[in-house]
Amino acid sequence: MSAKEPESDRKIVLETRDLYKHFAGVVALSQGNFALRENEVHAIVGDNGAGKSTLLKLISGALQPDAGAILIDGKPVTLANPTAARRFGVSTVFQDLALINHLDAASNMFLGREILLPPPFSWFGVLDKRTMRQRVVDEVRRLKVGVRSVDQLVGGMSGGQRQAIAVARAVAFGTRIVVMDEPTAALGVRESGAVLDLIKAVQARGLSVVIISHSMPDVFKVADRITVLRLGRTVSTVDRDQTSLQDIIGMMTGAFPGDAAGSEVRH
Amino acid sequence: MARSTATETGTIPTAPTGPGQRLRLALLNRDVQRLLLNIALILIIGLAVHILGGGKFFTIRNIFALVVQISVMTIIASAMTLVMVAGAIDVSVSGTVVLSGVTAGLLIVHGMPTPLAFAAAIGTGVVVGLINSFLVIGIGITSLIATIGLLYVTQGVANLMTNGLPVIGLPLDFTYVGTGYILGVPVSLPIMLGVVVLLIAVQRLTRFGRYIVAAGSDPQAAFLNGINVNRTLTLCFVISGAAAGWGGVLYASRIGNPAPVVDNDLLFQVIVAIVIGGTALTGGQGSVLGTFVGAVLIGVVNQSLNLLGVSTFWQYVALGALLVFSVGVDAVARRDSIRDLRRRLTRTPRAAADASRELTPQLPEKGRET
Repeated sequence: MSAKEPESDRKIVLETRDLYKHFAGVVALSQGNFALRENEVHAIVGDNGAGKSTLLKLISGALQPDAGAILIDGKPVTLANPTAARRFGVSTVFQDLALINHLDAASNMFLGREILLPPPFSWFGVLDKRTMRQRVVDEVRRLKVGVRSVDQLVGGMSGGQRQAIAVARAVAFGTRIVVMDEPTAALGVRESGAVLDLIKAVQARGLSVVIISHSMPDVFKVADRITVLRLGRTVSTVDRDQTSLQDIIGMMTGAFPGDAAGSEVRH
Repeated sequence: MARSTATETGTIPTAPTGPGQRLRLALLNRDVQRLLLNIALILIIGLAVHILGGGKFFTIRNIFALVVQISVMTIIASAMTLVMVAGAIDVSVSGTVVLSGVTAGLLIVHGMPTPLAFAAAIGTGVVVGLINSFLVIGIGITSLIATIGLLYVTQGVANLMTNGLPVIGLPLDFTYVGTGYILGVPVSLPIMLGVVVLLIAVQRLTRFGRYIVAAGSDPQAAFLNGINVNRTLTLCFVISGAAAGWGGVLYASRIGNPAPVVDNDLLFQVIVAIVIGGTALTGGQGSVLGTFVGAVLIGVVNQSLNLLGVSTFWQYVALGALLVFSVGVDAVARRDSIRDLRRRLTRTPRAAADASRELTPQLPEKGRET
């Protein structure tokens, strides 16, 4: 569907083929097709129950598909859990952010991948707090995340700051693909703007970004391409510049058929 | 101290915190405040009793007596703090104390060398911890209920093993760890401090300590970050069980003849020490250091009333009052901070606008209605 631009020659870093997932008799996703190009921001949209969240959880390793394949750099992979996905360079910012309120920002950023002091201390799991803290400060500066102190408990931060910490955590540590679930859903106007800037900053660092959002204005602000899901199927993937809000809404609601087979997605 | 508004996003780069600022942050921390309050209470009560009781409180003799009195409770409470931070509770400990004490006693009577018997007693606690974690994690029973079950089972098994009678015929050296002296101090002192320092180190310095907080604060988020929540909780139960097993040895050694009788006071003092120390029943929050100070405070109150010749009945009243006071102070502080927040929001129009923007959910998108 989309015109062949130079951009479309970009490498596909992550692809899903006919992903299928059901829960206790309900088919959440019947034909999840999706292809993420290198260094693009790709939005997945759809009405409630369209299967967006399921697709995202499959990509992030939080769920496993019943059928279909996930390919990273063209090779089929199994993402048994979010940690496995991270090992393939896929980091997810979940909607509830998965931050620990009782830990400070620095501890949260290294949660699950702490740096330990050299042996013999590492045998006992003794943390190298200084190194971790320094790297967190560097990362937070680089992304221009506005937090007063990385020693502050995450529970005491505002929604935007929490989102920023979660994003900073996702993009650090050799991540290539960042998956974000409703990054602006709980935020006010100003904080949403800051998060959208953050997404652009992540892209500018050469990473690929997948976002799921209900907010069409936000999607049109940051996304390069948009994939529309409807009733568990991929309807179409379109370039942001070649579509309109009306087209997207038409595809979401079924007023527009799109290329319903979903095969076009991989151009 | 006014906190700056919570909405400053994307503006201020992270300033590295200097020692001065870190100290100020620490003093604003409610846990630190509680710790200081408890230490102040210990000193004030101690000093008052010292003066009233004719200079008998701050004496080596009295302090050693206090240490012996609180050692079992402190060891168990320190370990159980980890379970509570992990979001669970372990009330089986006082059953474990009885079971492990009886186990050690019987093994020694039947000819096992004392150190091995002590190790077996700790092993008993580990087994209880493993059963607890199986019930809580494997089957999904609430930890309070599962461990109440184990409290009765351990007590019952201890009675079955001894026919409900105290174990007799133990050699005299059995009482050494509970009542003896080493290098001029009660053996209980280095044992207690060793356990407390070890657990403080585990909590503050290790990855496991951090995972305990994560598992107790938000298990789902912890899992999404690749933390094995079940393994973390299991290890906490095992540590708690082992500490209760070791506490059982100390307890039995102090009495001389391990009896299959559960000391309910011990269980409740353990819980009171943990709560006074600032550990939340909801998980994610609490420190072994706080529990240690809480245990010392309980010991000081009990010992003070003993010194002044106040009856045991009043000691119960004092302990209850201490618990209610301690938790009450926290509740009032929290209520005040909410009131402050509200006042601040209504005072400055700018802050109020920021706050309402924060609190208002984003409007639904035009595209969403079908």
